[in-house]
Amino acid sequence: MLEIINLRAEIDGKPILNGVNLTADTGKFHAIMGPNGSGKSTLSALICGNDRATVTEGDIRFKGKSILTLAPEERAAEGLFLCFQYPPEIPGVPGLTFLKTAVNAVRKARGQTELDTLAFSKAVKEKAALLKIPTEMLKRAVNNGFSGGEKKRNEILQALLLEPKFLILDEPDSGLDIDALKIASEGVNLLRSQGAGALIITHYQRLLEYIEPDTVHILVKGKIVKSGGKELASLLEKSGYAEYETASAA
Amino acid sequence: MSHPNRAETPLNPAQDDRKQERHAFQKQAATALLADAGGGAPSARQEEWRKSDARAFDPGKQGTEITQSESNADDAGLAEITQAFSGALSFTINEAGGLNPAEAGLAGAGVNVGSLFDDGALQQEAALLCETVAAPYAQNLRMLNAARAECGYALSFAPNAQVKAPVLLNKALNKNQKDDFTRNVIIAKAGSNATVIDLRGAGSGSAQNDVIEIFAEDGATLTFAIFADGAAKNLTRYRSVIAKTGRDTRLNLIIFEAGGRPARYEIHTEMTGAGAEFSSYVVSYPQAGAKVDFCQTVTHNATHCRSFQNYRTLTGEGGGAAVQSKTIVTKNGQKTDASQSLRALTVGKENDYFAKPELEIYADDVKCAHGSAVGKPDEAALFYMRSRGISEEEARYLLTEAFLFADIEESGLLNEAVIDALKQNFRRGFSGKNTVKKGM
Repeated sequence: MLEIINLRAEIDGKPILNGVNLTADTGKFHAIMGPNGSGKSTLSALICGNDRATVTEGDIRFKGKSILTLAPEERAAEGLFLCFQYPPEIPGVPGLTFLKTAVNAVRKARGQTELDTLAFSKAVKEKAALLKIPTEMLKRAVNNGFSGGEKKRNEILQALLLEPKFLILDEPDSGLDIDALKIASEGVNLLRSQGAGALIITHYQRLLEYIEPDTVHILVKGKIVKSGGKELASLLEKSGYAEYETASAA
Repeated sequence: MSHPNRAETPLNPAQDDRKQERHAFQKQAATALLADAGGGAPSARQEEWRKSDARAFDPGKQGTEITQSESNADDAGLAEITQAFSGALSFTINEAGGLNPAEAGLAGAGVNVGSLFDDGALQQEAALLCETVAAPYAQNLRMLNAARAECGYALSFAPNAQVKAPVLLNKALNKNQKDDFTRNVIIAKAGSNATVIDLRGAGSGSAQNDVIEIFAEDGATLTFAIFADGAAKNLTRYRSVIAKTGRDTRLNLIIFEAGGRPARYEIHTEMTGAGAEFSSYVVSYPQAGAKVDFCQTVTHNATHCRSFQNYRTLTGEGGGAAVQSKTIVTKNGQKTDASQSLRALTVGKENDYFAKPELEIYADDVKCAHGSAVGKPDEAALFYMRSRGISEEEARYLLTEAFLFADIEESGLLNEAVIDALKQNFRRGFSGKNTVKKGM
């Protein structure tokens, strides 16, 4: 479903990604772990169309076709969803207006019927209840004044409404307490049960206890240096990245 | 601007004599103009005129006329806003400059309205206020208005009248008239509470010069809103709003302005009674050659008064805006609480924005603040919205709409239907050509 082929990218002339290769099949969950500054967030942003980094070589293919030239909204319509590490606050834009505009834009692009106000309200209430999000919160401006946990739950709510085929979860556990982490994980696992795949970026094994990956990759200095099963995450928790950083430098 | 005494459209002496008989303020203005006492047009050397050429407002110099399609678009925009005021009490200044009969509900609601240029007690009271309220702000362009105005309304709210429905003014402009001078007076009697909406279309004229004078007596609450659609960008608007407020009054001023060539507003409020509150929300979005120029003073001349000046400006490609706002606290204005918030969003490569918030304080126990900021749309927010499937144009629209409308929405001064109509009106301009899509 998602193929990253020899991807190289730079920011202001500085290489960030140095030949990333990764293939994620339909419905599979991949975790990427790595030290700070290894390029994890840049990789996730590039997949979803953020132009903060420039691709110098390689390709990103989704459902069999290259998406490098697609706009972010076109990638969303194809079924990609980025769960932001730090969702921005957008004062003045009502949360429900934003959600309805997004849902109907994606549905329209996919050739589905747009939701009227009634159907949309019903869908939002249903998904919000799953994530224990109070309706009052949705009436506020997008992420405005939300706590870290509220922002992350709001991200998962958007994912449930937009029904993506593949999720990019950029440190979804940051800012979440244990209870909120469990709730958010349930939302992600619900999407998994519906056939979605995911790329999970995280620093900690704790998250992977709730969202179990099929494969774990270690990204160091812009390159995947090791891949393995979920036991690799447990190993990293004990030994850290020193071994891989030394090997990469050599 | 050429001096009115030598203008291509001189005062008609016979007509002027007739006016002088009716109104002292007109006599005063005409005398001053004819005697060349005013010293000519405002000069660019005057600080408040550094961003507008006063000659643009010379009715004899108007070169560009409003096209029929522009006029129709303007009318359509205003019609939609009018519809949002269902249940409003309305009256109309007709093309001949007279006042159409007021709706039956007006008198019952405690509203007294008539043409300022008819005879009657209301008009006499209004004429007197024209002298007392506006005199300190005399200036040639306003004197020109005083001398030449032939239509306008006098609107009064009875003491303690609680007028729940907004009073809506529609002015049908004379389609054959190239310039348009109106003079209007609003009197909110003690303890009254009312909302007045002033809708102005373009007609086919190319110049407007309006003066609106407001007097709010002790304990009155008045919200006055001007919605100028501005589909006709070739129009020059020179509009003065001059207000004086009494003790414990609440005066709210709202302006939506899309700009002209240019559209200049001079807004002067003096708080003369203790405990008064004044707020102004000015939303403007000049694009594609249109310009706005706001020059505002708020004078705190009594104790414990509060004021708030809020400007939200969007300058699109080729648009220009100037905002000069000043809070003046006289030595009588102890315990003043005043603030100014000037924010602008600039989009496109070629536009012009000038802001100058000022404080002039002569009292020693006051709280005054002013702030000004200008910037581009938030790129992080744009990417976020696009990553959710929202197109770039729609994302830019939502961000811009939020920037312009959030504060006025939060104020609660306008109901949801009116806000929605104003948004629709803005969206029409936003989606058209010469607007803000790429490269914001």
